[in-house]
Amino acid sequence: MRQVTFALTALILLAFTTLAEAQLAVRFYLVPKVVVTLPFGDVLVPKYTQPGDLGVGWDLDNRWSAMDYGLEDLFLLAVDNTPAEHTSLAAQVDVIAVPSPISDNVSAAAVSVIQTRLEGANLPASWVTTGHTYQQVLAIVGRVVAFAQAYHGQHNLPLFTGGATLNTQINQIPQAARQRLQSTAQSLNLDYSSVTSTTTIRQVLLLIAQQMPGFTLRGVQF
Amino acid sequence: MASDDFNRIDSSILGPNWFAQCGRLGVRDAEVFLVFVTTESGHPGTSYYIGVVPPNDQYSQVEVRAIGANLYRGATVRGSGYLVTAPVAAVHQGNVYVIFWASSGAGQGLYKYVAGVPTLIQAITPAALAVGDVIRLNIVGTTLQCFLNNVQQGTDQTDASLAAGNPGITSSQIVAGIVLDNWQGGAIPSSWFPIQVRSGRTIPQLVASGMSG
Repeated sequence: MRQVTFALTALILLAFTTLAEAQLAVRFYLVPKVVVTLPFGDVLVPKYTQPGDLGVGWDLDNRWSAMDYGLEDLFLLAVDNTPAEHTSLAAQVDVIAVPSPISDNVSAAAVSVIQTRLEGANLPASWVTTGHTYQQVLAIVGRVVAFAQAYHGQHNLPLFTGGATLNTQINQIPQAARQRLQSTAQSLNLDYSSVTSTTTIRQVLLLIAQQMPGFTLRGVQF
Repeated sequence: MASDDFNRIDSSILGPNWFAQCGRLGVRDAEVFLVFVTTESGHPGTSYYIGVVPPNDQYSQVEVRAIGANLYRGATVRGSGYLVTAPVAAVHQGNVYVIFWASSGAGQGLYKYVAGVPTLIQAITPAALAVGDVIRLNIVGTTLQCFLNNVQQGTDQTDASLAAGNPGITSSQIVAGIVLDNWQGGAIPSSWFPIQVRSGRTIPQLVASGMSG
């Protein structure tokens, strides 16, 4: 009898485990940065990725990957999570959750929301329409993020300093900042020649994003 | 390809072919020995190989010689800077990509250090790190791949922060001791290709005419 009970328990556990694994799907988010203290020092990580961040039992374990937006306070985060985990994460006011499947077109209701929230994070998005898929939106976002990483690595500075915004024109930022943008683009073999004094940072970032190579995040190619 | 089996007399440094980026790794009993422990900051001992000029697409692999909870071992790529202040740099201020693994402990995964600031970009926990395991980190273009005993762990990771630098090793633990051995690194052997490098997908044409935003 004890053996039968053990076998049934094992089967039930296996079924639950299989069910949970079957529910896992990669989903994408934009989240702030936080600092956590590990045995080898203080480390920047995407918010809500550490055990207990969203209550007892919350543990994304090793099911996430992320790209930081250079020195801006933002990560593009990919998580293999369950619907319940997604619901918890998407409910956070400082999280931008990307609807899935990402192959869907942006819904009419979502266009203005996406534009407002991405631009609020200094990511150009006024171009987003219902003619684009969420994957295409992420493809541009990830390329802008990757450019910001290169800018960070080369200059140890954020893209947006001194009150600059997406609407700021090139002739409104200091000469040194203009040179940093240009030199970073050129280091990546990007064509910067169409940028003029009245080009906005939004336009510069989109010009760059369209020339940046593709990228992979959590196994998804963009 | 460069290699170092550390089979030489004990020393408080790894040798002239190594640059101590943070902390101090030396040689003891023909293995890598963590000499200086940055107990206050917890910054790991990290050194990179300067005996050759490596290509930007490179790998680094090293054998684990001692394990424990929260005793992090790793390989590094594209390490550059920071000028060491005598006798050691107690705080990491350089650039490098690092894979940190331990037998157990929080925060195992793929990191980047930019100007010494560490960022965890992918949480990767291998099955169970053991003595004799070989840790390897590849970078091709902007794609990073982590391996344990030639089996990829985690997924391909894109990061564009660091374009160049040297391969190396790292170790962090709370007491000095033997940590690693048998390092090799440099250009990725052609037999390892094709490495999965993203080809990209069609993206919207946004600024082809008139710089519309």
